[in-house]
Amino acid sequence: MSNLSPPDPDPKLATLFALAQTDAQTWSKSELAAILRHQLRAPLEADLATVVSTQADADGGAADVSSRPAAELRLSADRGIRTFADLLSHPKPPLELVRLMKDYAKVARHDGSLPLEVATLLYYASLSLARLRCGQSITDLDDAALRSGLEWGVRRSWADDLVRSIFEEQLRELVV
Amino acid sequence: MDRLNDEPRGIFNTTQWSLVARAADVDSGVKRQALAELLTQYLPALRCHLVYKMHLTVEQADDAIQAFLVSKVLEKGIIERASRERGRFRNFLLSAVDRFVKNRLRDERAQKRGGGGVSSLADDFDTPAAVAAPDAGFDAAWARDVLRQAVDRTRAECAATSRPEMWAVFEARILLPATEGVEPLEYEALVDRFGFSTPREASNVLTTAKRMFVRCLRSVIAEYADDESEVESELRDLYAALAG
Repeated sequence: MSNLSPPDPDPKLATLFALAQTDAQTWSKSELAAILRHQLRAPLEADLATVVSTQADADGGAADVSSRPAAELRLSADRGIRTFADLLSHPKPPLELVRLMKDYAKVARHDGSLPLEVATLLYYASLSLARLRCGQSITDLDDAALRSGLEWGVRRSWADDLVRSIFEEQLRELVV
Repeated sequence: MDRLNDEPRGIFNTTQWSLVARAADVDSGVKRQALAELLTQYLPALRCHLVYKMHLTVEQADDAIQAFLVSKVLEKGIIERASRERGRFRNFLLSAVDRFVKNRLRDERAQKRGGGGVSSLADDFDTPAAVAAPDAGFDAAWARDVLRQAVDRTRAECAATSRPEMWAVFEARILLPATEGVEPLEYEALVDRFGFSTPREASNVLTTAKRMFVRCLRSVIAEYADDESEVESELRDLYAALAG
């Protein structure tokens, strides 16, 4: 018992109590950063294939392997687009893949397979990517609503530099 | 775990899941024994207070606490008698121990002077005025005791449910960063080390582990808190005591 030490405050230990004070679903910034980082490195084909499959289920049939999204997905690896990060950094990504990314983010927001904040960030990233690299809008959101979402995104301190740079570029475009 | 354990482990860290039920037992002997066991779980906090605030040696502090448990808790049941007016249990206990030790020291000084007086204040612990002002150092030590028990219960529950990977993820992502100041283990490393199929699977396990820990944390506090609202306020107070 000779190592009795003064009972000083310890903010790091206090974080263990903080776990009980927030919703258990809430993620810390470092966790959100880690999950986003992993999602960006995740194989695109595996995650987006689930969206193609889900869409087929919704249509009441098996996934149509000849559909354009499915075909684009199969070709993505050959084009050097293997991960979400590859898609986001591609100079001219296939619009169908960007649409699938948007749909994937919407599904992830709904089913909780990704933290809400991460899924939302991916969602706005896909909208920006479509406008910036494909020259098309894939959303019904007006510019004010898109701006609001992008401004929310750039305020996320845990956001990846790649995502942040797309948001900032889209915000500059919206100003013009 | 060093920052949770300011002393060697082993004597006072046994978890007693049945303490609440036993403390409510109609048999007063069972009840008092359960209360005594409950108090021994917070012995490190009491010891810190007596050493750093009342300037006792560790040996004197342990002797005083032992005497307090025997004469006031087991024999006279002051915790039970004081329950209606005690206010926050933690503050009442602090006040009761303080007064007991002061009386004991006064008696010892009187005996050395050839007296032999016995404390006339021995039974006044259960008055509202006896509730001590909060002591930040005591509260921080108490918070450590609560955390230590919650961690022990979480570890035991993971083992009992054959979920060693859940404990490992909790330890690597939450516990060691909080207690040792190390960086949380990357999700990629978790996948490699524990055989998860995806980082998402690891993060889902972590979410479950956090919920388990919070449940254990609440159960520890519920053993001395009166109701759910006191559990909530105690969580806030103990967070504040450690956050500084």
